[in-house]
Amino acid sequence: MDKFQLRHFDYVLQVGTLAAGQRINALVLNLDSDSSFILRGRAAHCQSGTPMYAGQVGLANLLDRYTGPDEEYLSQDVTRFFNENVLMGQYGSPLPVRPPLIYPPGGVIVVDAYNDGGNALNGLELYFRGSKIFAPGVLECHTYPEQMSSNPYIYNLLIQALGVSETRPNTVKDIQPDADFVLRAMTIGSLNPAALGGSQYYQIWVTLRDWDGRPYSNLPVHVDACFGACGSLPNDGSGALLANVVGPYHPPLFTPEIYVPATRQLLFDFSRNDAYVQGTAAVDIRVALIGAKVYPL
Amino acid sequence: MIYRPQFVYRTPKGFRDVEFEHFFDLTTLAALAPAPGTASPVYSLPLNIDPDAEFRWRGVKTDHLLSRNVGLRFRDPYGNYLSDDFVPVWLAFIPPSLAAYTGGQSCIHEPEVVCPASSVVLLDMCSYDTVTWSSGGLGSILLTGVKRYADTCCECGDICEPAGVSHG
Repeated sequence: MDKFQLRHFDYVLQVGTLAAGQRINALVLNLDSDSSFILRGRAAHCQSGTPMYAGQVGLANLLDRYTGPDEEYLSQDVTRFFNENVLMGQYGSPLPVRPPLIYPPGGVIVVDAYNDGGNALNGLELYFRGSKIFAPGVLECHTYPEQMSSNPYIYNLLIQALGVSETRPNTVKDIQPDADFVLRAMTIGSLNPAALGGSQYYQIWVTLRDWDGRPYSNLPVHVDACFGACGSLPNDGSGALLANVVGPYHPPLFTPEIYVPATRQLLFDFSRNDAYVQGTAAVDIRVALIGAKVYPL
Repeated sequence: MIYRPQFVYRTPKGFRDVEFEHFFDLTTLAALAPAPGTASPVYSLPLNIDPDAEFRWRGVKTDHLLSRNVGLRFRDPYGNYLSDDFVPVWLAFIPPSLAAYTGGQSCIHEPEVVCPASSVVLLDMCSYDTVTWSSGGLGSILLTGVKRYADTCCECGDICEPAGVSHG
């Protein structure tokens, strides 16, 4: 194929609970039939009673393997994810798949997962991040004009007082009429104002969709796993924002970037499930859409 | 050129780029002192660019040891806002904490902003908390990038120095 269109896409495989010592073989992730898929990176996330990255230490006991486009496993047996990436591919920094793998439309990724620890991994999700490949004409193709100038720009989004078990669909972000916007990275997090009790979040997912409502993932993705900057920061007056291993200095990138024409919209569906943690309260979620304005000349 | 690779900048022939950081803290910009909450943002703090050369602004660092729930909004030297509202530092401007300012990566932006010599970047600042900052606030801020000097041939040979700089 000489020409094609790429579109950022995340596939999520919801494993659920992986009990202590349990191994599940041949978990099947069915890929969409509308396009091929380039797998560029992987990540894992689990439910925890501790917010931010500190709550993900249980994933050190996750071992897995997965199949390539020919449905052959890519390792002899399960391997420890933590040994390959101490961040488990989270905070928008997925464990790179090099070289990238191209799966056919309607293909499958088969996964074996094993928990060699003494505690269950609850709410386990495995992420396969990359790009869909479309033939020309399937999607609207918006890109840079022949003559242009550009300025760095950040759009903000505030999800105010998201409840403990709330789903808030169809939050709209309008792109201003003066210029197109190219979205290159997105960070999501919370440093809840003291007036709201300074609560933190644990489990919040987002589905990003374009102006036609077409999603950029097969299921909602955990905000820390795919778009975390610092995560859910405590507002305890401790002073420092400890961005020692994660932070906006390496923002979660889209592959490829998303080109949004002027006056179009990006849509967000947020959902939160923190009812399993006592004492949680509403949180303000903030989103930074990082990229550039593009002015046709 | 439509598809210039991102984060890669060539120095044009006849010029020399020198890595440079414009640093602002309480000693150089008193307005960075603790400020009240969201209801009283601080507007148009001047971040002055040096007069000796054009500055190609490519990134920002705030002080992660001091700054807390702070939002920033920049205006480039031409009056263009670089965001549609205040942006929390913890979403876009916090560097690694390996050490406050020693070797930590900058939070880059793309494309670079070309700031003429002696121009001014303006900064608006707010707190998302209603409490008064008892310590810290923003603390300090760095604009990272390069100064671009025009090379000029010297009479003493083929050594080139930035325009206006004498090497004796």
